[in-house]
Amino acid sequence: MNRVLVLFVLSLLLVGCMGMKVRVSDGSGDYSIYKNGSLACSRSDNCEVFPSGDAVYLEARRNNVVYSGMAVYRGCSSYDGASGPSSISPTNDFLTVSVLGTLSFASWAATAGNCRGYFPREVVIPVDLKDSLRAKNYPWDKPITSQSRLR
Amino acid sequence: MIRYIAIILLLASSLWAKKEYFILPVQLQGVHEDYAEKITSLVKEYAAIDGYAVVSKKEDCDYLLQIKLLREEFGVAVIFEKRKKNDKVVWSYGHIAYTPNDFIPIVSHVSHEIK
Repeated sequence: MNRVLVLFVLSLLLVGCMGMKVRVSDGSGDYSIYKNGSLACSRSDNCEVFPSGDAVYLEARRNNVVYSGMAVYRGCSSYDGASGPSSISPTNDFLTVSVLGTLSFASWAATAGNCRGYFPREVVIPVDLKDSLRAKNYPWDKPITSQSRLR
Repeated sequence: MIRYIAIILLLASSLWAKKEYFILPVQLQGVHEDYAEKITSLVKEYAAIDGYAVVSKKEDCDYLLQIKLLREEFGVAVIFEKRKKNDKVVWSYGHIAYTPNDFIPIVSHVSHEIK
């Protein structure tokens, strides 16, 4: 029981170090994923980034051309499946409870004071298929007509 | 004393001087030249907003700006290259444009970066 509790609390303490899986909405794996302008994954089919700070900017690029980007913020809610530090099960071992309680409170106080929360476990960078299909048929090789003028 | 003031003024003037760009002919691949004109005029608009100059003579510029519009399966890859006069690329940025309306945020971003 004690081992379970120790593992549980350690997982809570280390939750800020967890990676974030990144996918691209069109399901293609041949994008490179950039985190804050730096290459994080050379392919998007098996990408995990380790965010830091309060926000991270992710981009999906192919041949150095940005296809889409999104900002991901640290939220106030926990990861899916990860419960808060106050949910430790009661136990008869007073010492264990005291130590774990102190560690848990320290962990909670470090993050909850300014509502830092956690990054999501998984994000999907949107590459708009509807726009892509519209673009596929866009007459780029024709002169700009009055209908397709920008402004 | 006067010498120091002159040096400071010289340094200050170099800091305040506008960067001057010469836009090279837009490289097109599967895209009509109307879009080259469109994106060039947008760059000139944003130059006025962001405080750098687009000059008409290559000799007068600090940097060259190469724009490429390359047709891809979905949309057009809009690529900007900031080059030194010796053609060395010092900065580049590419973004997909699904429609010509996407030129505006792309040029806005590039303009902010190169100003």
